[in-house]
Amino acid sequence: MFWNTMKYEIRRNFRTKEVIIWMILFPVVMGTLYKFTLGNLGKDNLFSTVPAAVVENEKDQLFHWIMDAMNNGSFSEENDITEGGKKPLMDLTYTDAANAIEMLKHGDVKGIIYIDPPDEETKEDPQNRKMAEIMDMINQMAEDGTLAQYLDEESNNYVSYYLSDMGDGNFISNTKLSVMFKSNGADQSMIKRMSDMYMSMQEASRELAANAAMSEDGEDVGDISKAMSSDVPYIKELELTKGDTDSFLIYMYNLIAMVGIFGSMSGLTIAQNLQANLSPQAARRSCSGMTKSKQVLADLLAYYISHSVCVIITITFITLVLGVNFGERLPLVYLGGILGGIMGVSFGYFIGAVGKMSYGAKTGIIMALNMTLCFMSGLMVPGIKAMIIKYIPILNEINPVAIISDSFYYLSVDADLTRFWGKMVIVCILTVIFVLFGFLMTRRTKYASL
Amino acid sequence: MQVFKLFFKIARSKIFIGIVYLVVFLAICFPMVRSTQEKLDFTDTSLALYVRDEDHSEASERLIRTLAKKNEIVELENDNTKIMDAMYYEIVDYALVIPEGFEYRLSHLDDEAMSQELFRSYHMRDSYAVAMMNLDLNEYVRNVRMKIAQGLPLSDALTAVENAMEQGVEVKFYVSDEKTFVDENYTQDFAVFFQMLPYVLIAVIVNVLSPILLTLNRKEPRDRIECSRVSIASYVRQIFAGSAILTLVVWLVFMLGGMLLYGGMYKGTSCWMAVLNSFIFAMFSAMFAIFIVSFNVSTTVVGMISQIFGLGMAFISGCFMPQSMMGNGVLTVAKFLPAYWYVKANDILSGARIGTMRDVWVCFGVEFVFFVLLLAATVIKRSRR
Repeated sequence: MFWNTMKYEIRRNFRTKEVIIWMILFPVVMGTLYKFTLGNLGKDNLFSTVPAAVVENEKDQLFHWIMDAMNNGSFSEENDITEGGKKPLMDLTYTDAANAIEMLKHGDVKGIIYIDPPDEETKEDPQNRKMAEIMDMINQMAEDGTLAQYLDEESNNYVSYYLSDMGDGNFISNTKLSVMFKSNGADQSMIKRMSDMYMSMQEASRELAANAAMSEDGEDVGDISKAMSSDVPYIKELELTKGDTDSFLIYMYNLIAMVGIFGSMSGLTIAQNLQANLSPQAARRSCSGMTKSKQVLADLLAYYISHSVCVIITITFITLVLGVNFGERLPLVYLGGILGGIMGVSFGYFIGAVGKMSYGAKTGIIMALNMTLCFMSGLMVPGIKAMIIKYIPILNEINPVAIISDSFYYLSVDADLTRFWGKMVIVCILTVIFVLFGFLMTRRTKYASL
Repeated sequence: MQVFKLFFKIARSKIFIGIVYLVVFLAICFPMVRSTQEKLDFTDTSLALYVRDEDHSEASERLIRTLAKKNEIVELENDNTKIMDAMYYEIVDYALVIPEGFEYRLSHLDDEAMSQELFRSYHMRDSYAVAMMNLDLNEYVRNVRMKIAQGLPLSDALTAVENAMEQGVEVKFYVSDEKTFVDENYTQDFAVFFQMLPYVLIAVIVNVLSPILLTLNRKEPRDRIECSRVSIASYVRQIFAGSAILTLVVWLVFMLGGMLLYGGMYKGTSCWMAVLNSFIFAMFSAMFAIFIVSFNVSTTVVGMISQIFGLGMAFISGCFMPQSMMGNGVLTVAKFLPAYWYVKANDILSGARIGTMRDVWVCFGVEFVFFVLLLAATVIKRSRR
């Protein structure tokens, strides 16, 4: 009797079009949408070269020199942030003001850097006036052709080293930078930071040139210049995990977790079919010779099996058709998905057993509840999960969807399986609790009239 | 008015589902919407930093204080697993370790060997956060090194560098002359509420309205109504009035919820245009619910369809993620869905996208066309029955 009941429940399940749509078609559609909509999410979050326009209202050779050096990989920053130093920080387009605005408007650049002459206040600064005099002198010497002779005489002087890199022109800058953006964001912050950094280097270069012009032996100047152009790696990067940390996978983990919790829709039917005051089927079954506990167990087992098949189909589709790589621990992903599905069915059975609301009302409630749990786990907006972990971490610990999706994340990034098994134990405990409470609420119910 | 009364008698049993969606939606939106900012000011990206100070020196503490001026320092347990989780879920953008001996090495930066690997950082992916922090740290060390080379003692060098790092270039914000309305009362932060609204409107309106219509469409009540004195025209009118009022009530409740988040009555043209945008979408949602019912499906199937259509449309139209981050192929498909035009209009109104008032009206028009098409499809479907 027990096995017959179970067998017919399984057959009935797969003949129900709702089951096919909900448990198989829905995740397949959602997985496909995710793949095509968010497939590049992980790559998009990576740093990419920031396009910017430069409007030179005042010629600044040092700006060209420093920015070119950065874009050619001469500076340590680039080597630190990109793979093998291949990616420059900024892609600069030197243009006029009108074209720069057009480019900003059309999104061709993320910001505009304006190079302007210094304001009067800056010009009047005693150090800057002194610098200007020195620079005028050097420029004059360059024009007179006496600079080479000067440099030969002062071979230890840093000016020699400095000029050899700078080439001809007004090489010591005294300009003012400002930036213009259309919106806020990481790209804009990057342009701002680079401009700030340039201004600090420009000031340092002026100090350096002043010291150079006045230095007797150039020893200090050499130290400063070394510090300025140093490419020593100050930061050592340590790898946290060898696993896949692509942020797109969060969606896939949550999708499988969602299929698991959607088992609650099936679980709801179990309670419905066992409470004689809620459905005619249950009324007929309550008159049968089979004990209630056996009916519950047969139904639960049947739904566990049919829902596990749905979970297996979903994971297989995600892996084989959509090409999402879960790594070498794929069998454990299946295990996690199946246990999650079993918990989902039990959760539905528990909700179905609570109260005397109609099946339609309970369906609505469980649907809202499922989607809320999925939302809080990051199915729609991953930032929500971060917010919950930060402000209400306990909510993430007890959210069944988050428990399942976290277990997949642990499979992906952890070297051992301790945390994964920990989550699986929680899944099993929740399953037992749901079944136990569901059973306690549906057992020994007597009806005066049906 | 019997049909009208019956309509709302059934509706009462569905209120609970609507309230669940409303409460959850407002609770979710609350933290996202409250952090309102002026949209025409530049806001430097503030990173969430985890800093582990193993040196506990004056120099390391001063560095942390300097970093904290621009960024948020996040406290975490000294555990690599916790750091990894925090970085994965982007609770922490950058994890920095200031190793023991940092101060000593910083004061001896003239020795190149001392300056090597002055810091350690935990790396997960090459993000903007990594690029920006590396830039800041390298600038900090370079400046300290230059000041020390100039002969300043470490303490003075750090003071000079801290002062220098507080200064920055002037930032101007570009306001397009094409954008004919600038409304600071409708910020991009608050626009998140309206951006995510289509998914909830579809879910609530379809899940509340469709079961009522399905119940009224069931054979027994329908037979009873048809043999009554109520004419078919009156029956349709009453059903239509009931659906319209119910949709209006649901929409109004969400608008009131939005006001709660906004902190009072909506202000400014953009804000009211966003309200109008949501009303047009609510009309579409109601029409969608009526369209599904014309296929005479079960309540469960209605729930499924609303989720598949609602969630799917919300995803590819940019309700959960900015359209600017989505691929062109996906957006081309999304153009055939009303939520795309809804989000586009909302983006223009909030200033997230450049556009004119004319563009906004075009978006409203396209949304309305979807409503009309669905109405026509429903009429055709019903007339063939």
